[in-house]
Amino acid sequence: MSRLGRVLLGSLIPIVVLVIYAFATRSGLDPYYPSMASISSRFSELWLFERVGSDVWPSMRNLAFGYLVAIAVGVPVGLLLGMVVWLHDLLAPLIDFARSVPAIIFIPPLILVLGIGDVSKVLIIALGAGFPLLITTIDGVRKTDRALLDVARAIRLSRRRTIWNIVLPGAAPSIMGGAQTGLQVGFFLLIASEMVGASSGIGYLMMRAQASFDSPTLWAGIVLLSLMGFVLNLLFLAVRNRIIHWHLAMRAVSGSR
Amino acid sequence: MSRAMRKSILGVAGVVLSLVLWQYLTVGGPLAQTPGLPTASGTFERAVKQAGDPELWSALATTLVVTLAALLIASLLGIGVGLLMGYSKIFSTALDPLVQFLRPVPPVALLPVALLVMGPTSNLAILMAVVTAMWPALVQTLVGVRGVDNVTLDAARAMVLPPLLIQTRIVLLSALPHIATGIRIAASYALLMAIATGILTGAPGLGRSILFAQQAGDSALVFALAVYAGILGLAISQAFSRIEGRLTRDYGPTAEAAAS
Repeated sequence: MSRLGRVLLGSLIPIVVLVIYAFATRSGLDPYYPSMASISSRFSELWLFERVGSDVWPSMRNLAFGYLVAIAVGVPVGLLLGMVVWLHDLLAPLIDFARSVPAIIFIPPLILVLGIGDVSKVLIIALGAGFPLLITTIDGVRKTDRALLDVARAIRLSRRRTIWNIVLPGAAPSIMGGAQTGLQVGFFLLIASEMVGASSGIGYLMMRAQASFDSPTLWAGIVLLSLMGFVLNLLFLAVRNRIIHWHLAMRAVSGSR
Repeated sequence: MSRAMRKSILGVAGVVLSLVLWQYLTVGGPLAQTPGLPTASGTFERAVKQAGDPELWSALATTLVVTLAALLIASLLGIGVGLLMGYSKIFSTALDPLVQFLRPVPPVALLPVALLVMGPTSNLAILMAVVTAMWPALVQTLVGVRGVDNVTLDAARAMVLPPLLIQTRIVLLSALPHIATGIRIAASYALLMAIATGILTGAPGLGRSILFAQQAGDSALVFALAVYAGILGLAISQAFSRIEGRLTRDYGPTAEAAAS
């Protein structure tokens, strides 16, 4: 199939859906499904760029802080637990249990303890994003090639060099998987925590609009969150591909998988 | 001492130590008297007391039913679309851009509109759980179908096996462990969203109980319910890991090597 054919075929379904939506809502009278014109005018009223400074930027800052904390804690602790067997055995049941508790459950208690400010949001994002990172790091470290470790010992490589040059690169693809899940979980928890308790933010604005039957704001919010999720993922992939380009190249050479 | 025994002794010690630490921090330690932070003993007293409350069991049952219903729908959707995209070039070209765009979109973006249309009902929880859980099912199915060993496939073609047989006996079977992984991840996503919808909207189930406990400022109850949610989550993930482990053992990439 030619490139043009692929592009046309790929855009077929989105275009059909949009056309059907536009046609079905052209009267603009349905309270739930507003016309596209009203969605786009609401989108530009709110998000270009009236409320970006007050409701998008602070949220993104919370997400960034929470995510960085998750990486800064999850990866080193994962390294430690992946390498020290008794410590892993000591904490494994706790980790298994904690990861089975949906992270969103911690939002109500955290709000009770810390209030609805930025601290509780950063903490909940760090908690939710930290677990996938922790688990995939442990997993990646424990799958380190034994032969490479033997070689490292044979050539008397220092502990620090062993970790930096053998363990971490070996675990990196696995860690990146957790980092991607963690980012999605963090984004979800950000919006969810704004829906539960907040006085600003996209989630807060959408729940407020829901309470007042303001459907154009809700649909504009869906558009905004979709674009943000998409862009965040693109950014993540760009960073990931820089970090583990050698792994991706190896995979491309060895064929599918 | 055997490795397994050491492991379980250490595991129990870890749980006990963390409970002692929690109790110490909240009773005499630096976190004592923090509003909203119950003690370990208070939480477990509450959890035990709650076990006698039929409301807890009906909330747990509702959450379980919502999760399993959503998992069923999400698996059918995800595996169905995944197989279509895996088998057919046309479908995969037509759907790939859409999947690439929609997958990173947080499903919770849909929640306010869905709440407006459906109200805080079990169906809302099922819908939200379906749109969250169908992605892992879809993606893993796709990975499984596309990752079929080319050598095996060539051998089958060389033996002139009928195409239908190739698709079912070789492609589908070797994709099975991946599909099982997809369903396992989907199950935990479905549970997450079933509870999240309750907390965010008051839809029935464990999430709503947690929401009400938070609104009443009853933090011991919030933590006690979180313990039950963890037990439910652990049970679901253990059950599906077991199925996944079995399928991987029987049909996974190493199964043939182990059998020969």
